[in-house]
Amino acid sequence: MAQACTATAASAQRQPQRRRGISKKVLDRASLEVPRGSFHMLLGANGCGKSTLLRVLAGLFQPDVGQVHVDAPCGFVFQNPDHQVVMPTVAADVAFGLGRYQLAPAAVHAVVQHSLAQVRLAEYAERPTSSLSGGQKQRVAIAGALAECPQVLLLDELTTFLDYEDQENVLQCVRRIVDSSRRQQAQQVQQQAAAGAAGAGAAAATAGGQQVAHAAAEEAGVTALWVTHRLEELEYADSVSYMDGGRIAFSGSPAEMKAYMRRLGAPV
Amino acid sequence: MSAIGCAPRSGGVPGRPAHCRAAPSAVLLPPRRTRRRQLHMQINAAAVSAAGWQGQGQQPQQQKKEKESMGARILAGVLNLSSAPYSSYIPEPKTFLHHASAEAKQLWTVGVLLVMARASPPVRLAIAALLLAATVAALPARLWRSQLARLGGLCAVLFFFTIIGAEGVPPVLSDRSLPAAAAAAAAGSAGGAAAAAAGELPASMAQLGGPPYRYVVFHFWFITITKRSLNLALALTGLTFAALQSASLCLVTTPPEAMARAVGRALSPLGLLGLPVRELVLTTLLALRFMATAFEEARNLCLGLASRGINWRQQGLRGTVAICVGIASKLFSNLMARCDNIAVAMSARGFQGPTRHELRAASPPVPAHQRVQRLAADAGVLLMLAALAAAAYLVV
Repeated sequence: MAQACTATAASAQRQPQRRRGISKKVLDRASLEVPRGSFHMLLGANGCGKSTLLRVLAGLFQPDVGQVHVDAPCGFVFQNPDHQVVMPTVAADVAFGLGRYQLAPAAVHAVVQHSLAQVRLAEYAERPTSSLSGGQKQRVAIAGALAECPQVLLLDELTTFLDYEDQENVLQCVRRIVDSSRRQQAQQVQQQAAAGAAGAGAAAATAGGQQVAHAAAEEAGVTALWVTHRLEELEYADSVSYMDGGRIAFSGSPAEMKAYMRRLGAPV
Repeated sequence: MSAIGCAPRSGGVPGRPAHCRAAPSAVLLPPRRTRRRQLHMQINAAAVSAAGWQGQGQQPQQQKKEKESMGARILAGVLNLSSAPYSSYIPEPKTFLHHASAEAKQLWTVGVLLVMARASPPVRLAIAALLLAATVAALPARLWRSQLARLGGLCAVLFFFTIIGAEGVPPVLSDRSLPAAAAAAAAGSAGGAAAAAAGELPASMAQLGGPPYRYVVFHFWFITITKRSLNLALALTGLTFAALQSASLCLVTTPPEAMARAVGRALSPLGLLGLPVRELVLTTLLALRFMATAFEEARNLCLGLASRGINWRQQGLRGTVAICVGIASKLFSNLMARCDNIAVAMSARGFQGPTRHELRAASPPVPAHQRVQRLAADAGVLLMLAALAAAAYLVV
């Protein structure tokens, strides 16, 4: 499968530390590839460089050496929703990212409603953001990222400040977004294949359908890269990478990751 | 409950199971100082209960004793505030004020202030009554009760000090009496003229058939209430009440982005003169957003303080002031850190400056019947303002 984001950051240093005259190598030959249309988790202990790698992928930090490729547009959701939610009401905040595009008011309203429906907050459009719970704010932040129809969602430890119920809600929400984008993509593939079959002969249609399917696989919906340090969240992922000491130590399926963690001595 | 379920919220206080609610500092005190320890525990328990945890086995008398400490009282006062900041937008229930446009409400607010400044005392009272009625009609009871109680308290304090202070404390003036020699010379010549005038002038206005008039309404010891001080107190209280309550009504019933856009439209002619209108609109909007942020940050810090179980009485005035200053500086540093983080988030969301970023209206297209409703509400608001202006002109 094609990769939604690849990063080979040999060395990335945190900007604030450099500003104070301290230079610390955070990423060390970190190499990550995330399959398109998947829910990929990036696991690792605190301070291993997960968030820095995510910021490098989002373009917020520049690595000193290495290459980064991320499908555009790309949405970023921060750990603390209070830092992400900028506007005073929910709908206005979701529409904030659309300010750089030339859109009609009706189109903005439709996009905002669709994004809020995806995170199941359609009825909260007029609510002040200050009156929401932590989980709801986090979902508003996700809706704000979704409003720009991103190919890649970069999600930085969204469950850190949430209680158990809100953690489940946010995880299910992201899982649903990835799945629904996959379904939409599959429907589009089928429709285009059917259209190809109707317009040409059977032999040509098979070849054409394969081409369309291949093209659709190249654009396989939304890819979510979820940074976490909680092993219990693995059950929601399609694939997982484990980061240690600034580099990617292991990548595989959730089951393989559990086996790897057991070998490391973690009670999984 | 799992470990994850106990995780603290942002800046909040970690949840504690029922068996560990007693403050640890109380347990660490030496057993000899029984009385002090008891008091310490009382204060800790009340601080914790102010933070939302009901202490076990609290006696009402103990809680009453604890409230004698000023620091604990202030802390409890902050923590007992509603989690919704004062004057934040409330979308439900929809009232006629929600249907009125932001421009009409801004015009109403300015108009009410102007009329209040120029009106006679009866009209001022009428405007205050109208604002009260609009508040009760537009807000849910849980909000208007606390809002009006606080605002009423503030206005009562202002009224009291103005009414006794305007005339009650005479200013220190230089002696205006003539020197003794000059007074004796003047007395000779002025005596005849004064006697003649006394024969011609009436003793009071009542003898001329005019209405009774008393400049001094009330006098006791050093407290003197005159017509002037009464008028001044009424004007000051009325203006304060009108300014705060009409602005609050405006903010509570209007989405902040609609309010900011209305400010932008009102200022747009000044844009031709080089005024950065888009920057001002964005600043207004962020300020409205930050009202809630500052409130929430202050509340979180107070929660953190309450969870420490500080013995305010032991701290004394100097210790209490030191803690308050520390908290205030922490509040500012936290707010600055939040500003920094929000600026990063805005950049990550594609913000490249107010001139290149349009603030999009996410409100749905307004159907015809709602437009009629809006027009009717606008007309109603402006008619009320016109009626108040007419009353102010007629009732002198």
